[in-house]
Amino acid sequence: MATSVLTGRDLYSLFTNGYRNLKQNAAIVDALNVFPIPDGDTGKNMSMTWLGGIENADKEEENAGVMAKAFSKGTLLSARGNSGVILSQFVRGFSTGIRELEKVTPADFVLAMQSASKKAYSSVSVPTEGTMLTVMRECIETSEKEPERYEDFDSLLKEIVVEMKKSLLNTPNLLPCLAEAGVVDSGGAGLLYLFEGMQMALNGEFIESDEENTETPEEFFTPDSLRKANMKKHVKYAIVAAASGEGMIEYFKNEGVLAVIDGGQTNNPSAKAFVDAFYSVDADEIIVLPNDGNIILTAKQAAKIYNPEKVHVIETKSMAEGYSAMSMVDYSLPTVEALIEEMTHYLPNVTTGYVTTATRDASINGVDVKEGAYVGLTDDILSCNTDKFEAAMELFAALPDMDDKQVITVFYGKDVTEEEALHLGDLILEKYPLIEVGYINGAMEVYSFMFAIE
Amino acid sequence: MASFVILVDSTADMSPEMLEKYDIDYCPMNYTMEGKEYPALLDWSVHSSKEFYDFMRNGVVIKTTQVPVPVFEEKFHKYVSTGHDVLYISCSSALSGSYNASLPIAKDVMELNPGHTIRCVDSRISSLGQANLAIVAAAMRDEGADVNEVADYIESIRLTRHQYATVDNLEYLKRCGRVSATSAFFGNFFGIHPLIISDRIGQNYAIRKIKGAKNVLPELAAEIKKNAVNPESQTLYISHADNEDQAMALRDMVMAETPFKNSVISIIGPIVGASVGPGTISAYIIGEEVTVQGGES
Repeated sequence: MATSVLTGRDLYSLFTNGYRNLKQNAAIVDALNVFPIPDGDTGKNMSMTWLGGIENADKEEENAGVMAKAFSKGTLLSARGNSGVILSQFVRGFSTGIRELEKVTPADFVLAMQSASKKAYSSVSVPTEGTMLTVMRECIETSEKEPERYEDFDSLLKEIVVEMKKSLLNTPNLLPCLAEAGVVDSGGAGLLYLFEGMQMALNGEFIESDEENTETPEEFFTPDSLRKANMKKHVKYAIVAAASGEGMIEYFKNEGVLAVIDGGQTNNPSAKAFVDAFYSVDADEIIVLPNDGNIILTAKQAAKIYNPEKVHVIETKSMAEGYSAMSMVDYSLPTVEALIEEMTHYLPNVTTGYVTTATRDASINGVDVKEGAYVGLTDDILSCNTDKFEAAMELFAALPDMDDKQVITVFYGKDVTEEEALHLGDLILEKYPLIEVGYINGAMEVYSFMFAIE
Repeated sequence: MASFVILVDSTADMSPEMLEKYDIDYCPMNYTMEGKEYPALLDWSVHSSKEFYDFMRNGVVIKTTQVPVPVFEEKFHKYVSTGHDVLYISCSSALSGSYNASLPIAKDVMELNPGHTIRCVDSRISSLGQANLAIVAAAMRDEGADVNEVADYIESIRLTRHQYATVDNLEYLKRCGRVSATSAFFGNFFGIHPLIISDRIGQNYAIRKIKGAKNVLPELAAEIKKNAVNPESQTLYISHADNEDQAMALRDMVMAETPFKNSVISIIGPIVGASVGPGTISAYIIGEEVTVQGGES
């Protein structure tokens, strides 16, 4: 039976099935990873973000605009990873598009999708084509020409899904790194699973799951309870950082980070986790170190939700950058601007290096990567060797500005012993005798080594 | 006008030649290593400077004492009994108890010898900053100024002596509580070098962090250039703890940019050396009055 209008309940049901379909396929989305290293998490991030919307909305709500608004608020807070933040902004644009509507027609839906795609584009400072943004925009290129043409949602969603597939398959043509890795864009793929799930719901194909209902919806804002629970003393400046790896978390705490958010490489924290952390510290000014390229947007979104005047995000793309920023902290500086200037002073000179295990064979950047071997990388993969020390030394040798570097801090992962870290230090000093070497037990999960090369 | 004698102590880091040239005497402090106490002599006749700093590099813990009471008694009596007044320019009282210890002894000796003056002046600095004040005093003395005039003048100018120093290892300073900086300031980070000044009260105060060993000397040179008043009419003083190459490199770097009249390089004596550690480089210049005061120790 054709569906020509959607109520709040209907939309909720579509969104829920979309979530279930994405959740079922999250691992496939995660695996659409440009680098052959174990850091893919787009599927997980998108589904967790979407789940926040489901949990915050009322499934009995008849009014579509009201339901979507609650759904949007939920996704804004549960957003994690860049893909999650973009998705949450997409939902926000969608909900704005239908906010006055009790019921949604296919034409309303198309207009809301337009609003959604615009909002998503505006959420990133430099939109890149060949990503989920492209898929968001292109999937309605046909339908938006004549939105009144659709009598029911069945035909509209079918077309959107078809267009999404086309757009998704074209992403490697727009983004060379996807082509080189032989994958399509993971965020776009996540979006497709969401809409496929929605389309299935229209056809009566509901995926069975009671997962969403077993979890008690989280209470979003509990500032008073958090403050009471923490009873932290008032400070002028508080630093909040994301970190992953027991050793790294402990390290940042010891060095004066007042709230460390457990997250990072394969467990990106939500905007809510940041907002909670902001409430948990009692400070005039809050400085945030996201410490991961995939967490920066989340931190910024959280800052906006909390208080953009008071929260300052230093865009550290790695824990090594966060370490460098922390090393320059001087709380006696009179203004937060001066403190941030000091913390960011040496950041342009920090190179972050990693050694991790390859998850598949690949040829990237002229390096032959073998599954199971150690790869050394910065923003690019620079070395691959079955010996982790060799992989590290080849990584250093491949850095163009190695001669200007003065300090290497070696953070060693869970699979590396202190003796091994010291051994690597000896190799470094043998080859680069003027460099200072330091060691920190980071106990990271994914990386054998991380280096702050300054 | 009675001629007077100028005394410093072991922390002035003046070489025997400098002491002789300016006719300055000093009160030795003591250092203890491996259970034995030695006088901290500026001619290094007990242990050579190389030996001394190598002990430290090898982890030998060296403890220091202030000027012992009998040393003050002996020096003050000796000069007063030969008809001299005495000006003692001490190590910063924030770093050593010598200044405070000297006051009652000076008072006692003056009471026993009416008509003689012993003035004790807290230099609020150490090493070649302290030495520089003593050299200014010597010049005034040689031009005929009396002890009170000179002492008052030295007290009025002491805060214009600036220190720009860096240490290889902050542990030494921390160990003896002789640097003012919160523990959070340095933390457990690698490649961070402190820029240490002498603040208003003569405490060593780490005002800034410098990242990377190669950036240290240029940053010191830049501070010196920024803060030196009339460099063409003053001497650039640099002391070092067994790190002459770097001291000379700093001198060349500074002189290339800032036209000091001349320069003096001297080795840091055993007392300052024991608290700053091998490798330390410290420059002293004349600038505007120091206004900075550090936080908690």
